[in-house]
Amino acid sequence: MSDLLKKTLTLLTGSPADSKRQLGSLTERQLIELEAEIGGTLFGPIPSGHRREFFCLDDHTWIWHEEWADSRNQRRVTSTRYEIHDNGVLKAQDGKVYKFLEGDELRNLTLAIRLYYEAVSRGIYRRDPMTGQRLSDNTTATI
Amino acid sequence: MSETPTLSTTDEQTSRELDTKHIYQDSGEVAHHFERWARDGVTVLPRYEMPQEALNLYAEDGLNENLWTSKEEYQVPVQAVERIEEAHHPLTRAQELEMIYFSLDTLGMLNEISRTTAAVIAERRLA
Repeated sequence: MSDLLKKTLTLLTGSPADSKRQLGSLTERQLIELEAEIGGTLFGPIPSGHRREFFCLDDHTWIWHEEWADSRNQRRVTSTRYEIHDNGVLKAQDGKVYKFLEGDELRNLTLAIRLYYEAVSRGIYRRDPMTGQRLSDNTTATI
Repeated sequence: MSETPTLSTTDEQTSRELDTKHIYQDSGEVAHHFERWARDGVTVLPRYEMPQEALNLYAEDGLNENLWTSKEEYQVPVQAVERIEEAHHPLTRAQELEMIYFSLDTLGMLNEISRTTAAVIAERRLA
């Protein structure tokens, strides 16, 4: 492909190869924001007027944050923190320690975390989550 | 418009009484043979005297397994039906994972969460 054509395509569509460089220039917080957007879509369609985020904060913490306006148009916020400990996952909702997860709730979190990993791996970091191999620039990312 | 023809219920042939006299006579003859075989030491078990369990289709190890089918044979069409269902309605990734995680206990799920979280952090640091 000629240099001129490459430059034209880059101007029109942006080069996929640049996405690596762009990601590298993002701060950790910005990467988390990108991940949180994808994470929010894992639980199905987000109702109109809701804002939902689900993300990995650090090695031991996951956050589920939801904001919406109630029937009186009052802003409501729920923030749930999942802390990974050696003896279980502790759920803290709105700052209050709630309980260690078990049964279906723990299974649902396990499932959500795995789906999150697969989605951000493909959608943001352009890697195949099964093999760890980098996805080619022509591969369509599926979330 | 003509109606579908039906057989007459008062047909002379169908209402004729069946002569059953010879049947009873035959039964007597058969019984006579049984008595004679018994006297001669020949054991012939009439069907109505067969042990009850021999005809019990619901017995644990009776005729039922031989008459019907083994469990292995039964699985084949069931699995085939499942495969056809899957072809029509492929599982989503979430459903696949649900099936995989179904067998995990609490410790197994905790390990899976830790592993996956570490993988997410690694991706972020490699970016």
